[in-house]
Amino acid sequence: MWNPLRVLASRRVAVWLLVAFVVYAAVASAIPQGALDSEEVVAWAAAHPVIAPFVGAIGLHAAFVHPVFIVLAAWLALATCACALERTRWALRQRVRADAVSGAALDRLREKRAAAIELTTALSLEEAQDRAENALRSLRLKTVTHGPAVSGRTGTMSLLGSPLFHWSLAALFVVVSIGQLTRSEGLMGIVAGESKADIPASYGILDKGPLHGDLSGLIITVTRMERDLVVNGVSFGPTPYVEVRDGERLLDGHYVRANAPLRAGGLLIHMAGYDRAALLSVTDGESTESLEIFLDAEKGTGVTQPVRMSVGSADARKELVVTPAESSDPAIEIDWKSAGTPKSAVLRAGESVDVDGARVTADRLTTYARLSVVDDWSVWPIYVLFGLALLGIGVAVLVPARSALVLIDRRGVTLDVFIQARHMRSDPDWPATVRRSVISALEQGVESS
Amino acid sequence: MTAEIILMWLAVTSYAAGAVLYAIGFVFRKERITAVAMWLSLAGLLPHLAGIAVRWVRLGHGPYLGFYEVVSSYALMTVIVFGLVALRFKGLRSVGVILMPLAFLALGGAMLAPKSDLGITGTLSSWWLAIHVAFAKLSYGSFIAALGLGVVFLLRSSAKAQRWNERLTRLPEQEKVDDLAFKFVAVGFIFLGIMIAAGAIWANEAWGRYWSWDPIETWSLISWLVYAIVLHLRLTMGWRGRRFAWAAIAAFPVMAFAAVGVVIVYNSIHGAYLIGY
Repeated sequence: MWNPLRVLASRRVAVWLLVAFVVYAAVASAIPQGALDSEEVVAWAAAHPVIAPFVGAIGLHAAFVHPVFIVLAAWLALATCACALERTRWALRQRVRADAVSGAALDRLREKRAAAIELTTALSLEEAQDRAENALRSLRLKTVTHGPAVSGRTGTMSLLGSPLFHWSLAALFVVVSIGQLTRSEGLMGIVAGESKADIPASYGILDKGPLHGDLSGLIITVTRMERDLVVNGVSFGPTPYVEVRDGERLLDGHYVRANAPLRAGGLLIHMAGYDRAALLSVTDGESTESLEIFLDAEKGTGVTQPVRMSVGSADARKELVVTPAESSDPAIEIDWKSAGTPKSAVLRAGESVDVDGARVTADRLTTYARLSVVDDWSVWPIYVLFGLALLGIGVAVLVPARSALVLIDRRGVTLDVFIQARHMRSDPDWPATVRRSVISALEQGVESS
Repeated sequence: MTAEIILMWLAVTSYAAGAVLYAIGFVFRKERITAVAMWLSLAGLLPHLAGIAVRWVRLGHGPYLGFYEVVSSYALMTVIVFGLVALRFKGLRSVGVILMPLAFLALGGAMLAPKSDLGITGTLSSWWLAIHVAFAKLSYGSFIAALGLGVVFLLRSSAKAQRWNERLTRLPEQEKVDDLAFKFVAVGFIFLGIMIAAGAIWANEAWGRYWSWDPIETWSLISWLVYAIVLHLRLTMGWRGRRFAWAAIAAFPVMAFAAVGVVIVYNSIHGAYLIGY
């Protein structure tokens, strides 16, 4: 009868699942990942016109959130759980049986006459057993005496390496999945000297998992930008000093740079970039509107793209284009059309210009920090689980379960010594090591044949 | 710079001579030539280490920035692992027949690459760099040792085993070679896992994401999974001997591609550090 648990725990299926995962990841790595309109994807599609439509149609530009990948990962996770369950059962069975040696097992050992070692010795049976026990202990085995036999085994931990590895990996799948569903990550631009709240409206880009609750509402402030932060002789370039507050209460604050993110109130804040910024105010009649403009240089070319915006009252909107002005001191150029005629003005900090009745003032020309703000509880559990998985596999392959059984019978003036040694991963040296250790202990000061 | 280059060419020469003498000793069954080849190869470590040290002092960082430094350090690791195996298990000196040509080609290739002086950037100034790089080298060293042992195992167990056996008389029993290859794969798997974990922690500190499916991250995971398959085949499906040797050999190119090839083929965020673009 078809048993799903057996299929999941099948060793052959596990290998094929790993192979499938490897092949899928290898194919996906050759295709740029990201939104279909991202620069890299567009460039790749232009370079591969034959396969690009097919790749785009089946969604391989988002290969690691693709349903095929999710099904594959889920199957692998379930198979890992099934393997973990099977290995735990096996380890518990071994643990229960470890200290029990039946009479039948001793008889079977006696039947292997070819493996018997005859020792001519004046040692009594008890002395010989004591020496054999000490020999097994010297191999770091825990020993138990069963009549004429002495058994030794490694500690329980040695049995648990493989279960620990598989359970940790299974838990890792779960934590990573839940972490992805409950995390939020976004990019927030904050002008030097200004603050923003951790709310959706503050973000330029926000990727919030479907199970993530409300954002924290904490206040993030860039108090200043250091022109070039140098730490231990290493230059970090322009670096923001960031503070996080819960209302009036300061939670934490320091320079945020690579390898020194700010952790406060469950948020992890990184410096993702910086550039020029302008704070403008537009007064149109009675109303005044404040505007924040980020003047980003294009990656690669260094050219700043113009920022287009619409200002003024609802019945008389004006379309402005803002670019950095070529000037020795910070300045912006504002372009607009007045009755179809192109007009332009260069503003320095504090200067104003009249745009068809609206007064546009450059309040501040400064810099801004683009901060990556992440709220993800799963990062530390992921580290711990991966660490446990490595510990488990380390135990399983480097200090695996080992056992030995030594049976000693007296026959006249000789002792018949029967030795059985088992190693979880069949190390060819183990039987010889046990045999050498036991015989050496028994032979001290006696003759053997 | 000149002293460094002279030292490195001395190492290349020493490795080349070691590789050639190994081949001669192997083909003509001359034990003494094999012994000379081993000591000549190991002697190359001195100028190699000195060359790396000179550069380290001059630039203020270890050999992990740019193709030249990265590949040179992999060549160094290959010879160190070869030395450890050859000195610990005298019968396994013959592994040099496989490993020394690889070390020579790696270092020779590195010497032909641009030797730009890349400085430590803000992102790189972290202790995680040392841990990440150290375990990358250790895993590579373990896997290349497994590769060498796998090849030796297959040579002795091939259809022409008699002919090979005459050249490999001093090797340990096949069962021990097989077990040693397994141990190197197992240790390499753990080291590679630590390398991936250290990289993820570092990425989270530096960039705010512990994993972003960058090609080199993806290929590190692929290498880890490929060696997981090799271990699975051994531990749960009983692949020993020839089949395990083939598995250990087949897995190595994946690891080598992840370590050096990915940044050449793909546009990766690691490219700036590994090959200096």
